[in-house]
Amino acid sequence: MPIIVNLDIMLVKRGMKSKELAEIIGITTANLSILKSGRAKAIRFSTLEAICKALDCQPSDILEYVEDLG
Amino acid sequence: MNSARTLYVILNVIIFLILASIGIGIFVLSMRLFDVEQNFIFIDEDVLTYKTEAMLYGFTFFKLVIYAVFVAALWKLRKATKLLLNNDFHNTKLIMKMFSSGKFMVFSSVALWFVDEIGYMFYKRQVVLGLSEKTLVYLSVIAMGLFLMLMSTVLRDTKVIKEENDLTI
Repeated sequence: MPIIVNLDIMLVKRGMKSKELAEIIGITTANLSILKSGRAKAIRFSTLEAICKALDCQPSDILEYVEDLG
Repeated sequence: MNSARTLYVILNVIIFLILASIGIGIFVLSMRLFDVEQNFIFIDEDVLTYKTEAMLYGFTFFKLVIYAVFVAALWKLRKATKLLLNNDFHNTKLIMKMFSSGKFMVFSSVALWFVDEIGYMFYKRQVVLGLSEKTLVYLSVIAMGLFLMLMSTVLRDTKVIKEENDLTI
């Protein structure tokens, strides 16, 4: 998928665990795992806002566009 | 879901009646083939006069196969209704069974209609114009089959939308 979610990188930078982030933003660890693995089809603005607030970052720090060469 | 439960019960009754009548028909036909006399089940002779006895049994067997296809269609619809009773609308099995049930219904109705018309045209020398009760029944079954196929397509599309929604975080 051309949109890459760099959540793992931000979690390491902020020294936060996935479970902790999931609790803060109010989603299940399973859903957070889906987001991290790139299997998510879409993300709500409210979820993106909550992640940026929790990790003190910008959407561009989490979402990256890579041209699909396939 | 009361309507699904009612449909399930009605389908069970219809399938049972059809299977019982086909069973009795095969039993009586077998008795005739072996020249066994009986007078407890009345046989209604068809006015169509086939040229040979082989043609008569051939057409009868062909019709039996079509009835079997129709019974298979009702059986698949019964299984699909059972899944509906569990409120499992996005089940792949339900979608496939509904689609194949509709397909079988359309096929059996068209085939039986064709066989009947061939019989009337070549063996009775009669062409029936206009809508008889039989034609209405055939058209109704075709319409029901097409509707089932359409509903299965709708359920398949809603399943895709639901899966996408489930993966929206």
